[in-house]
Amino acid sequence: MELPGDALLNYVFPNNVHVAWSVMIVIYPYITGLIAGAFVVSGLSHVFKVKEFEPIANFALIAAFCFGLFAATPLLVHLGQPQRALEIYFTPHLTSAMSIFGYVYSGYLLLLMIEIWLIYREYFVRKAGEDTGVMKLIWTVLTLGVTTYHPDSAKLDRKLAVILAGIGIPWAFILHGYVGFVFGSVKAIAWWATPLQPVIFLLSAIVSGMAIVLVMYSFIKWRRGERLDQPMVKKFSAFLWGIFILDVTMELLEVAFAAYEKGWHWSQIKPLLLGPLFETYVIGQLLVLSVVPFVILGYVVLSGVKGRLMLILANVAASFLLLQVLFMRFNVVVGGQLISKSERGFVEFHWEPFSKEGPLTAIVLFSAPFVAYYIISRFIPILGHDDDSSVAR
Amino acid sequence: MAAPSPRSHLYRLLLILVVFGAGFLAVKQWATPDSWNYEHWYRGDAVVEAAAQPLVYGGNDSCKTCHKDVAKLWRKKPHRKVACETCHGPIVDHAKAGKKTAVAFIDKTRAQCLNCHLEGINRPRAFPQFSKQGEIGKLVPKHKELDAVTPCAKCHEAHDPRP
Repeated sequence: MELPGDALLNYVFPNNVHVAWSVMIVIYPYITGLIAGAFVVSGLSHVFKVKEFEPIANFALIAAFCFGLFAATPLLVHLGQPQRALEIYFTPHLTSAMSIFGYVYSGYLLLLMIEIWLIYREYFVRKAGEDTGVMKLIWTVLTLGVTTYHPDSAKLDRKLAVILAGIGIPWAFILHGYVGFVFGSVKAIAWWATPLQPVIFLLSAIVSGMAIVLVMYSFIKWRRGERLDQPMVKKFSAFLWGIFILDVTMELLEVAFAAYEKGWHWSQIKPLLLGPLFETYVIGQLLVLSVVPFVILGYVVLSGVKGRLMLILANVAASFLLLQVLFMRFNVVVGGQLISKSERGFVEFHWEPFSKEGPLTAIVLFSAPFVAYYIISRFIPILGHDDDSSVAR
Repeated sequence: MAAPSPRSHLYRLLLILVVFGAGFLAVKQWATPDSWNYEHWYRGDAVVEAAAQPLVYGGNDSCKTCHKDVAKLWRKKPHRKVACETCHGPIVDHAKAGKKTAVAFIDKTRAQCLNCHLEGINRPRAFPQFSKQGEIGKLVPKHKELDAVTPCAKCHEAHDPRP
């Protein structure tokens, strides 16, 4: 195996044999990215008035909220100090990207909550009038005690929701651009240190967020036995394809620059990509999980394919893209740490499936947003049956 | 009863946000240590607390006050960068207020020497390096007849360890 720094021996520092940022730190930017991506879908409808996305705008917003609820849990499991988790909020300062994150993330969750509240307020008011007992109390609390719905306030709410969505798009970009910033600014790790990192993280976030919205939408509609909105899926595929092309372009540009410059970065990255990351990066992320969805989505968008086949192809491509971004997160987070600090060898990564920070915990944490979505969807109409006139569009 | 204003729900939301924000600021104020130094980002009292800790290691100057002769020899030799307490243990176990309280501990084992002199590809080539037990003769011919346990200090004077 080729080794970094023309090393003859795989020399790894004795305090550098364990990959400290493991699966938890892989799924943390993954979930954060899903929030940003899902929010972009609702923003495309609410702000940019893409009318095909109108039926799924609120659904995407709620999905973003569900992912938002659990985005920080992998960090909590990784740090293992829940009683200290809040301290990041109490001593913020501008020299720590991690500290600023607390404010960006919680501010964003607040914005999402207010936007959802404004959209569903009419529904809360109606339910507060209809239901009895505990549910009436809960609905009334959700209306903040204002149990009449004024026609003027409907207009006002709609306007405010659009403004919040407008603020939310750059905010979502900052939220996820920041995650890339945290990695891109680690100058000691050649595989991370590039100013392109925030852009790559952001674009891949939008790709994964859009893909999960499409897959969730299709799954829910299929389970309910309802027809899928074909023009929407077609338009959605076009957006997804376009953003994915941008995403892969940035990913390839990063490597292309390092390869062309043939500098110190490349002396570290080349053996990494051809060695420990060959399967997950070259074969996984690039050859299989990028080329296949690129071809499928291109076919869906450019050809006249319609009906069931189009829906299946779009969903297969979206599932591939979900995996592509997951692989990308793994290749960045774990891959960067595989280059030993000695720069003369590779650290070995161990999956430890049942450890505190292992894949099992990751699966449990990653299921949580879907459970939250299921619970929320029992109480409010998300993917509208068309008679839900009391939910703002 | 007059109909509520079309903005009344927003006023209530604003009130909740203000109360939440004020509560956060109050908790933040309460949770931040009083002596927090916002300019250099550390807890001011930490310095005082650290300074008040009992002395364990005194540093080379504290040894020199009594052991002038050894200090003189040691200062000119290759081991001059090694602190006295590395091999002799902390001064707190040996002397207090300028008076000897106990015999200083000396670690004369081979393992103690190999803490620095064990061969490693990260060490400069000119730095004397030795393998662990049994292979000690590879680099230095004189070591060929050595067994695996004889301490280095049997032949080498630690303050001036040159062959």
